[in-house]
Amino acid sequence: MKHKKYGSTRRSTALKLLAGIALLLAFVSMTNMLGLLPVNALRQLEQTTGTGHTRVVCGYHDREAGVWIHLGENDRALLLSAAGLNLYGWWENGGCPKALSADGATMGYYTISSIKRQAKVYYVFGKVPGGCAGVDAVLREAGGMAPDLAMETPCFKTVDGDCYFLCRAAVAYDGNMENYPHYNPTVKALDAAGKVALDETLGDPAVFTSTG
Amino acid sequence: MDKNNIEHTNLLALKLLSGEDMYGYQMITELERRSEQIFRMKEGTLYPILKRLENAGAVKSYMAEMSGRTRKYYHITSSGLSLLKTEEARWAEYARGVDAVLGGAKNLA
Amino acid sequence: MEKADFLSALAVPMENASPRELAGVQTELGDHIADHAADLEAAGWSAADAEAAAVAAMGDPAEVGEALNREFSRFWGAVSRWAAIALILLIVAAFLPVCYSCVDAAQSLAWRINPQKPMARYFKGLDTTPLDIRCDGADGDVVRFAMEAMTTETLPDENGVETEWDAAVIGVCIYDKNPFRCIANYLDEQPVFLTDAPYTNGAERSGGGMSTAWTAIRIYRVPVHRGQKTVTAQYDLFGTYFTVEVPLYWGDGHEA
Repeated sequence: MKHKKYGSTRRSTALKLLAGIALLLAFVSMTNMLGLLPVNALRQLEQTTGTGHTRVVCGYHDREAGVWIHLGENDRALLLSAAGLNLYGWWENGGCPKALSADGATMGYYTISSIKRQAKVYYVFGKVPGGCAGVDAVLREAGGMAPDLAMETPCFKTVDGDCYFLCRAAVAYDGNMENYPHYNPTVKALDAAGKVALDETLGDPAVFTSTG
Repeated sequence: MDKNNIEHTNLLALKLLSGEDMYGYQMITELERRSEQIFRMKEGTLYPILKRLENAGAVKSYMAEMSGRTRKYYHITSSGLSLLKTEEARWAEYARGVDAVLGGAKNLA
Repeated sequence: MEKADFLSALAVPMENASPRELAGVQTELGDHIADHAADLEAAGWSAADAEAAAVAAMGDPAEVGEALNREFSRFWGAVSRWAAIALILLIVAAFLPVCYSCVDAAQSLAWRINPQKPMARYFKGLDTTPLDIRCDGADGDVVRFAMEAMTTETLPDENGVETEWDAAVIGVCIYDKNPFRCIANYLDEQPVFLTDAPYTNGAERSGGGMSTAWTAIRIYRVPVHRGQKTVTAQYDLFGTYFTVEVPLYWGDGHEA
């Protein structure tokens, strides 16, 4: 018996096309083949750094760096990702994993330079187990000649009793490091009881990325 | 019956298709035959009705060849069969109402 | 009115229908007129009169056209159009990444089936021994020690004295259990080989290698003591840790 090919109405055609879109989106999203969203960059970095799946603590668009920043965490590490937009969608444009120490604390330091945007952005991120009352971060010039630059805190969250923070500051930059002071971030965090939980000056960044 | 306007055309179209799949002209001739030439509609007006039934999911259409001619056939769906039942019930209620009025008028006459 | 005129007049109010849909309607109604005219001709009518009567029986083409036009939903038509465009764009956007992913997944599969094949070029001229030691790395990675060879070079030491330096050249293949997933290649440091034998010039990883985001071949040149039975490889990445003793297969009388 010859199989009948029934005609489609406009509604059924539209619904089939929408279903096709949904399926394809689900496929590329689950396989991370196409960077549909900036958070895809975090997922790629989880694989390439070996941290494994992380929960997103926070994310925002950093105008001066020209990337989307995400901070992810799991029981092994903190992961900072930078996402840039290209032909394949949102793709990882650098990032910094930081293993947790035995007591669950950690702090990472990362910079992004953009000659196109004439800016160098410093990031400091970390975890204080048991919570913290606040974080104070500044960029301190290595020679002590320039005044400290305060770092803003686009992310400060408490998740399951632990405190996560992300601080950043941007300085002017034209690609020639000799023209600018060399900064190191100094970070102080107080725990929930008001005692100093973190007090550190960070040296060279773990990873350096130059965009554009 | 007025050629310009047949009420309950959904009911008539679905009833014809409940017996077998048909194409448009076949439905027109069958309608005339079964109604003993009482129902003779403007033939072009059948097609918007069929399109409406198709959009509602009551019928599906397909192309088929019969006696060397390719025509667009209509097939009633299960949803169409449910609709047919509903339309038949509504017609029965309507006819009862008309009969009640006419029967009452006859008694008065 | 002739059939062609009827069908043309029918089309005038049908602005919601696409050209394809309109053509379908005109064919269907044209066939209806033709069937009716054929029946009238069979009953003895002339061709011209039969067609005219069949057309007249269809009713006013403008009315029929308007009624049909109402059944072609502008909303669903627009949704179809935009959905088709979106689907095409998505397929175009996904095409290259999907192709690359499939190509890389195919390579990942090929290398895990026969890791010695891509490594062979780094062992040219050496007497190799295949290995098959597999360990679980971070995030689903497999770290596979696949090939080794022992080498002896004569090079000057720090005092300028010509000395024989023994080294194990070990080929490691890294891939994810899921061929569509990337390996942990970012830090590029794992595994490491532990040795207390003195190094010649250059770092431990002077053997070379190649990698994509999905697979890596790493060639290690590890200094060893002559006759050493095994060398220790250590892996430590975000909580995933292992050590493994890689056996050393000496030939040419250098065995312990």
